[in-house]
Amino acid sequence: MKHLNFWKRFVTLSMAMLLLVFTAGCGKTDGAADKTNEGAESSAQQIGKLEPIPVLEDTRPAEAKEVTFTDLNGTEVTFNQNTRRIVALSGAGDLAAFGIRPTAVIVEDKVKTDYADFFEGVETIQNTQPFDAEEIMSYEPELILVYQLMEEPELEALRKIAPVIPLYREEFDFEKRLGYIGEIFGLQENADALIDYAKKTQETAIEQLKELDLTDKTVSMFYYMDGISVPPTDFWYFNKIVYDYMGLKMPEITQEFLSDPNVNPFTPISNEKIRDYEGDVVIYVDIMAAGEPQVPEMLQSNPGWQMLDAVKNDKVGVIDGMLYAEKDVLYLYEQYNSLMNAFKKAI
Amino acid sequence: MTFGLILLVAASSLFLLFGAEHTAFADVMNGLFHYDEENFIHVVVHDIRLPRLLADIMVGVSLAIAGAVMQGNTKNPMADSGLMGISSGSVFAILLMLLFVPDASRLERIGYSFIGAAAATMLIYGIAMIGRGKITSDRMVLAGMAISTLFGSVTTAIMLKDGLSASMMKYSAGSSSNTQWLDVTVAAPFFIIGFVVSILISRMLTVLNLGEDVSRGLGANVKFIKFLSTVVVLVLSATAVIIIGPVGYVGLMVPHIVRYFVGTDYRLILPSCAALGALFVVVVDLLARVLIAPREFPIGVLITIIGVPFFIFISRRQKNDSFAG
Repeated sequence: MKHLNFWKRFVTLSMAMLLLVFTAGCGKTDGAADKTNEGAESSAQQIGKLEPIPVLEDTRPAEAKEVTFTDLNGTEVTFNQNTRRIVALSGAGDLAAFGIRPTAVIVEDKVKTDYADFFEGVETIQNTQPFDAEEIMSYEPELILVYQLMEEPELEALRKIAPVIPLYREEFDFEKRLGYIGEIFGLQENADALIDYAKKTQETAIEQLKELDLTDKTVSMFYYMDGISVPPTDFWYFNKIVYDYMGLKMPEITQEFLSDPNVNPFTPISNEKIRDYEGDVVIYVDIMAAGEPQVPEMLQSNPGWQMLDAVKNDKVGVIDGMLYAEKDVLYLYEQYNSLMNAFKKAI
Repeated sequence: MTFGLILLVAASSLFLLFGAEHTAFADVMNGLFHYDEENFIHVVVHDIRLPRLLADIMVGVSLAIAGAVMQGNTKNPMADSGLMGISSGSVFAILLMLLFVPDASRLERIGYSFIGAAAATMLIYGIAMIGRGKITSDRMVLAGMAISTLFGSVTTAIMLKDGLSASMMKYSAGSSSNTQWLDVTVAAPFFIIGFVVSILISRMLTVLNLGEDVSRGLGANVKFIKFLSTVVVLVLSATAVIIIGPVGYVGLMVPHIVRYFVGTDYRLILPSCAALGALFVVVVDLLARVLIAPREFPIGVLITIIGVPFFIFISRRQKNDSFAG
């Protein structure tokens, strides 16, 4: 009987250990990161006239310089303008483009790997939804940068740790967004260089995308997350580029779908109806890309998807959705390159 | 049971006839018997609706039988594979898959789901075995709740940490909207084995229902019956989870309704559960498809909306009535 009890306990403990090992293993994503790096390196052709982002230096002196700055909400914030102890809950890509290396930022692992030089020595904030005040304190920040729409109670909590300045996260105007960061850190030259770069990149890329003879074509963007759906316009920068900057149209039924206030935009569309949402050009947005973006097997075998003309003719362009989760200037070059390649495949 | 089967045939016909895409009766017949893979309507009927219908039937049968067997085996009227943590193991396994093997194939996904369900079942039994004395129904339920809570918490923590909330939320909501023939063909052998074994042990379950001492007196091998019942519950629950995701309450509601009509004989309970379970899931999924067409409502959410009041009703009833099943 004693032996039996021993074995019962042994089996139970073994199972518990197994569970713990599984759980502990969840933080180890090195393998996945290596894989994504390979994917990024093998990224497709680049647009001829586009220039990669200039590598800028953080030219601020090391000595502390206390300044009072009026932020975008009209609040006066006093802080050390030359501090390197920055925690950024927003704007990681813009700051990296300035040459600034904060102590910690919110950034996707894949992005951090793809832009390794820009994020060298920068920690990734682990708790983001919601943020953890203790984690933020652990970085001993002298300045906290947050997103524009952060609510007052959260701002209040962060102000107890360090001075807080909101950034223009929702702003599409590079001049306004980058000029503002330049003002915060006294890096106007860097801001001017980046604004100039962003303008040139956008103009050149849009011009070249328009050369693909897409006028009057409707463009459908699809993504798959346990169901086929249309990526909501407000969430993804590629929508801004395709539908606003390039002036392309989405199918009418898609407009109705996205503008219906009673419908959660992430709701899947019936496989029976997905064909109605097909435009002249079909782009698939891979929001779970671990390497080279692709149409997942789960979708490839979907009968509704298989009935699209673009799928039958192998004319589906694919982009990496995560690349467009932020509109920071750092990602602009790759964003336009990726879209150009997708359109070339899709037309 | 016969009445249930007739209703099931009627509901299945409606399922094939109605959906986001308009189809006439002739389209359905042609899609089934003169299938042309280039004809979109035929594809809708044959490759979208039919596998989904079969999947719903398998899920309904599996969950209802698993619930009935589990309730009889544990002597707990609240036992259900969803409430007992088996589904949470499957969800946890899918989460790990999304983290480490995000580009896993459909077949691999099914495999991970099955392993998760199996691991959860073993953990539940392992924990229930701790300590002195026999495994009791209370221990099983408590172990199940503990495992369910543990897996649920860890899953939530990882979801939030690794930004998988959206995809996991959709999986956790339970949906058969993307069911394909592959899912049906992979799940079918497990379903058939689980179903056949459950019918074969139905007589033994009726005997076991008289109490362990009485069963032993009648010559029944109680340990063997319990072991086999557990295997049936695991196989059927895992079959349902791999097709549709974690859906609770079917295994709770259907056996209670069936017992009300057919009594306590498992030779009647299990086939009746199969018919009513299938009917219930098919009807709810039909509603999920047409209520907000062309969008889809997750079937798991609809079932929960129906299941929670039922759960409360049963809980209140238990204060006065002893469990007869």
